[in-house]
Amino acid sequence: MSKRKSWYVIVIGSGRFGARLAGKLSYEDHSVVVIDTNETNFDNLPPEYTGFTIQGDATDVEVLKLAKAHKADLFLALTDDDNTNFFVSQVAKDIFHVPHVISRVYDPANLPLFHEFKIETITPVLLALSTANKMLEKIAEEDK
Amino acid sequence: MDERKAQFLIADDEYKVRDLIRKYVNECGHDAECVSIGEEVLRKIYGGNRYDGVFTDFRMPGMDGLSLIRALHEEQIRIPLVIISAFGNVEALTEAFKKGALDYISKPFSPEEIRDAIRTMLNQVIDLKTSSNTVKGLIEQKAFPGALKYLLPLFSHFPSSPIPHYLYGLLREAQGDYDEAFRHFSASMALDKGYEPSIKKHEEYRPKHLKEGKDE
Repeated sequence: MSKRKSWYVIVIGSGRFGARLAGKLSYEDHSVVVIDTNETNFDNLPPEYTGFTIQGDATDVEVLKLAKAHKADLFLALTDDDNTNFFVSQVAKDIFHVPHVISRVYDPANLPLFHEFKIETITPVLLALSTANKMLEKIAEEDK
Repeated sequence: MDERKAQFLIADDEYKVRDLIRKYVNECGHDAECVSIGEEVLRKIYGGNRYDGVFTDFRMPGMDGLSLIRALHEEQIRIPLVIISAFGNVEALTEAFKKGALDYISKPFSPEEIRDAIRTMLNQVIDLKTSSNTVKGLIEQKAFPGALKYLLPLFSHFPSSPIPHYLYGLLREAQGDYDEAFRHFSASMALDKGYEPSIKKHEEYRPKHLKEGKDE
């Protein structure tokens, strides 16, 4: 018997990041649904992905209903558009009461808005900066 | 969590879906076999494999889910069955439910939905078993009205099962009405030719019946 509970996860956006994360979660035995407006984006999903795909616009509540968002344990808004991510995250939190909502935020200037609505965020620019800082610190240490 | 380790059969032409359902069945501490077509389900069941429940897709190449349900119904095989499909045609679903399907889960499904379906299927099995034991106990205690009270609903809840007729046969036997008992053991066998308790009773009664020149 598996020791960890399986989650029901909805991923919005099947770009490189969304598709890889969906593949990882699926490989870890979670039930994953990926939603994308563009069907060809599902080609990004790795072979280990065993979940479902829905072609549709996640800003349409009916599409989220079809994906059974009310049953989701985790909702990941990972499109390349901050407005879309903010809107679908809000809907997931307020209408479908998903307990964990995480959104990708491209522009760090938008972060206060997401945090104001208590949406957890992933910001690629800040993550890259943080990694770059660590590397620079290491180089500086070696140069002493 | 169910304590008993049950055996399920999963029929779906998408291997990803089969694997996902099997994962959740295993998470609940049960075993599952997977097949990709409806014919395989019948082959396994006709081959004598016993399952506590079947998960079946509606749309599969070859024999689809509805044809499978029809075939099981025609053969009087009663087994808890849950349909899992992305396509919910109302007419087809209505027929499926009339012919014994227990539940319907639309795709995509959450782990919780599969766990609920497992519980529903196991409860169905347990209910008939528990009720049977209760009826047998009451018959042994000669509490005939009580036994009848428990027994009669089983006919409507499990119309395709051989068990209610077998139990009714036991009741009539205990009441001394051997002709009526024999009739119900025969009815039980007509529903399931392989139902051992009725076969034994039938063999026990038949010589006596033939000797007395009575029709079966």
